[in-house]
Amino acid sequence: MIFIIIAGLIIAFLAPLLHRLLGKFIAVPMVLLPLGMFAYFCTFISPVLAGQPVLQEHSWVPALGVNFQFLLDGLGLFFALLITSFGVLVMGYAGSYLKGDEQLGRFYLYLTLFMTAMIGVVISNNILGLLVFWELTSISSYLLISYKHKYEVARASALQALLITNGGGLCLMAGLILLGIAGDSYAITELVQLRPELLAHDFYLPVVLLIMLGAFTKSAQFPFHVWLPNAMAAPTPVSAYLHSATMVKAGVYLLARFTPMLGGTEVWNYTIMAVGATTAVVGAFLALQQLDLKAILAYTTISALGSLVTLIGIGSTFALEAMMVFLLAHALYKGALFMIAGTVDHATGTRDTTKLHLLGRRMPMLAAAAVLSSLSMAGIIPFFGFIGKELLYEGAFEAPSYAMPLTIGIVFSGIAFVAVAMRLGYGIFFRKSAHEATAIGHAPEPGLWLPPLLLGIAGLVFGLLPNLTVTPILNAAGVSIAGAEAGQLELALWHGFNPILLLTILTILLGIVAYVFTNVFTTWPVHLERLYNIGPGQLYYFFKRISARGAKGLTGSVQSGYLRYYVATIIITFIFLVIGAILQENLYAVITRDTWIKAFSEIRIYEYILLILMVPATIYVSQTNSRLIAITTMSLIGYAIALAYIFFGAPDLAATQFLIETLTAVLFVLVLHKLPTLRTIKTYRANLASITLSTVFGATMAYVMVMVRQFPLDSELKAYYGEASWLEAKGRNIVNVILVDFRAFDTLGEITVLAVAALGIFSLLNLYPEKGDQL
Amino acid sequence: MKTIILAAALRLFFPLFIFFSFYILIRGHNHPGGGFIGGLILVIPFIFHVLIHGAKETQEKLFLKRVYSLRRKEQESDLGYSIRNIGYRLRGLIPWYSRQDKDRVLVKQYVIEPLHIIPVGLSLSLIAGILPLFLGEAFLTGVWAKAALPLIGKIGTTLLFDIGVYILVSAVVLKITMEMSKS
Repeated sequence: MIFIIIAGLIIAFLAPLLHRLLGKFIAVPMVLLPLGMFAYFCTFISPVLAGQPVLQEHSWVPALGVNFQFLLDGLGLFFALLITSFGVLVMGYAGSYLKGDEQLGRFYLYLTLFMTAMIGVVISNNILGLLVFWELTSISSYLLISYKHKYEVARASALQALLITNGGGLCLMAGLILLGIAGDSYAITELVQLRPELLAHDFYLPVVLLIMLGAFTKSAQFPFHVWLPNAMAAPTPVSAYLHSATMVKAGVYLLARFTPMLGGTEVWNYTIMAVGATTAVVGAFLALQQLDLKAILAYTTISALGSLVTLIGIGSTFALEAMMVFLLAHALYKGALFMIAGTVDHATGTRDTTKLHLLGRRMPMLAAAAVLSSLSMAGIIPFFGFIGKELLYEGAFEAPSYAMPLTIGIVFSGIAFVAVAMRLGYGIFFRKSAHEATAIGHAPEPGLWLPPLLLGIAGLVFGLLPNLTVTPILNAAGVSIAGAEAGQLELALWHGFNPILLLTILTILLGIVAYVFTNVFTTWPVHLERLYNIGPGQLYYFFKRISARGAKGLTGSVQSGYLRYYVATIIITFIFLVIGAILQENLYAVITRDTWIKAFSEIRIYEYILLILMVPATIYVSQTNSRLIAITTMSLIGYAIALAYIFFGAPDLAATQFLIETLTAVLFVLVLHKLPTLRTIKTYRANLASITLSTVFGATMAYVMVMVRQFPLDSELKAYYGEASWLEAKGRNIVNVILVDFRAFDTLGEITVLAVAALGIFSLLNLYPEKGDQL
Repeated sequence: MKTIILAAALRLFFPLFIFFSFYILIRGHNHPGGGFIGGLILVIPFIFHVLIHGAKETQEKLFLKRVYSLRRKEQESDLGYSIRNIGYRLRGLIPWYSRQDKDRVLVKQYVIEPLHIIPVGLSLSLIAGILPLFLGEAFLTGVWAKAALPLIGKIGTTLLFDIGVYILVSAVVLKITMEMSKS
């Protein structure tokens, strides 16, 4: 399975190149990629349905326990199929939606990157691997939202989404690390076995709360939901894919994944239930008030995510199975509706529902897709949305506790769904009114109406023949979450006359009433302005301002801007650490007359010459008033040190030191004339402080050196590397072998830092502050 | 600092430095050397070039890439023209091969930006780390080919890793030098 990830990453980064080569036909390879992945995951259906999860392992950093362990059980497979099949449609749709866009290659890069990361999230068995992919989805979401980066709204929304979801990601990281410590394992399959120990562990409460924070921010739960409506600044394919069908469901996935491990306790159930139900009601309430097509869809998505989370919180076997069914139903119709909204926007240039009328005449195929998906959204028989909604109601109705308020909340959100579905499927396409039909710039091409139509048809087919199509995989997913007793679900359209059917009918009737009074809902919220001013949206800006101000204050108080203070800080810290260590470990250098004699007798004659070079140079460099002299003298000291390396048998180090010394001198010469004149501090106190500091530092280092000499040199390491570098790494130069093989990970980190430093230097040197500008 | 002696000497030493840096890179695995030192040596002639001629001229002389095509003959088919052009480009890859064709036209010219070479080095090192994953080994494990090349010796992912370091280090230093010498 790692090849799927690697292939995804490679093709993602090839996308800009492919765009240059293929032009508008770039959509072809980009659609083929998720199609191939879909086919690949399909091959796993039969073993997974037979109850045999597939487990694969590749080591990454074995020393830290970070491995790529991939697990494909029912839940993972369900999500993988969902992600890849939607990927096919969205990639195709995006090709038509952004046709002619110069940055299309970049767009496909981000989108493919996201898809790969999302697949990584759902098939990772190692929780740290899961976290890495999780963060990657946040980052690619950020890049996609800010795709139209010339607009400030897009940039601000992207930043908001990044701050909120990555803030949650940090919590999740803490939670997962604590979980790893508590269970002494990072593999989900092993942690599930340790459930009793984990529930009794001291870390249980923080682990659960932190993981929940991660899931709630990602899945846009109240009060973190504010980023999702703003994320609609992204191009519509992104909204359809990330912000309705897949990424926002990552939080739901996470909670479902951890239910068998951590779920079932009161903290878990009641917290999740409360947050989910609040979100469902708030999202539905806000959705009714919107006029913008995408905003309406965004708030209903929040509401639906709330319902999903509520079902996880209820936690009964039935509720968990119902959650999977509703998740699929929601993905089908919401993905389609988003694409329809995008096509309408593309054709008419507006998304304002008050300006869109009678679109069905000019765009019949799109209207058909809209009717199919909105009927599914409203939960009308025989669509899959009906089954999803029935199970959702039943799950809430039969909840072990708080069934009554939960049902009311869920039904309220259902009513809003019906009203919204009527506005989308009927209102803008067919409703007769005094207005003329909205003018259409150009009729949409097949790529813009076919994907939503396919999704709408899928919703109908899954509704008519659920047991032939989706029931087995949904059951397998249910088994992964709720254990072996699940998996007996038989989906059917007709459940007989029962309270649930009554609720459904009531929902539809009230939904129609709500639709008739749309105007009331969209005009009335003016009176709620005061409430919204203290809502989570404003809270976000408040926290952002506060943290920016705090960061500025902290930087101002810590960063003096003078190199000498930074050096002094480093040296003082160092001295304190060394002296502290010496005192704590009771290590004292034994200095007798013999030590002196021995030390001086060991010094060879050419080492004295080095000493004669270095000591006067050191004194001289502190006296000079000229930068040029200071630099030359410093180089002299540097060369002397390089010579010392040669004397003690470290040619690699010496060569590097020589080159770096020379380079530093040359670079200094290049910028010398730009630097301000050297200011010297001549006050008595400053001089005294500097001299004291350097003397103490020098003395400490000398003391440490003498002390170290008392202990025999531990040569085990040297012998090991000497042997292993030839036998295992096939190299005779130990230094180089350590750099490129044994400690290659460190080297990789170092060269990354080097690259970042070059970027930093580049931007700093090209930064010309205007007059009065603050840096 | 335009001195004719340095300028003349640099013309002689330029290829020498490049070959020497490559030699240092290759021998690094068994003898003192390696990607870091090699990369630093590689930039020495460039830095000298900057010191002698100034950053602007260095950029024009060493980093300005001109892409030429052959002039199109009258009534020549698209296919024939492209084939002729591909042949021309391939001939251009041979070092010291005369490219003084009279009937060539400048298609485009661009400056190779050292900042863009940095990610190339970084990704080479990264690829060297990823390759072992295909063989079921951990990330960054050194994997060696059975066969050896003449002059270079055994080839393995560590060599690729070192080449990445070599390219990155030289590009970083080059970039810093160019930026600092700009006025």
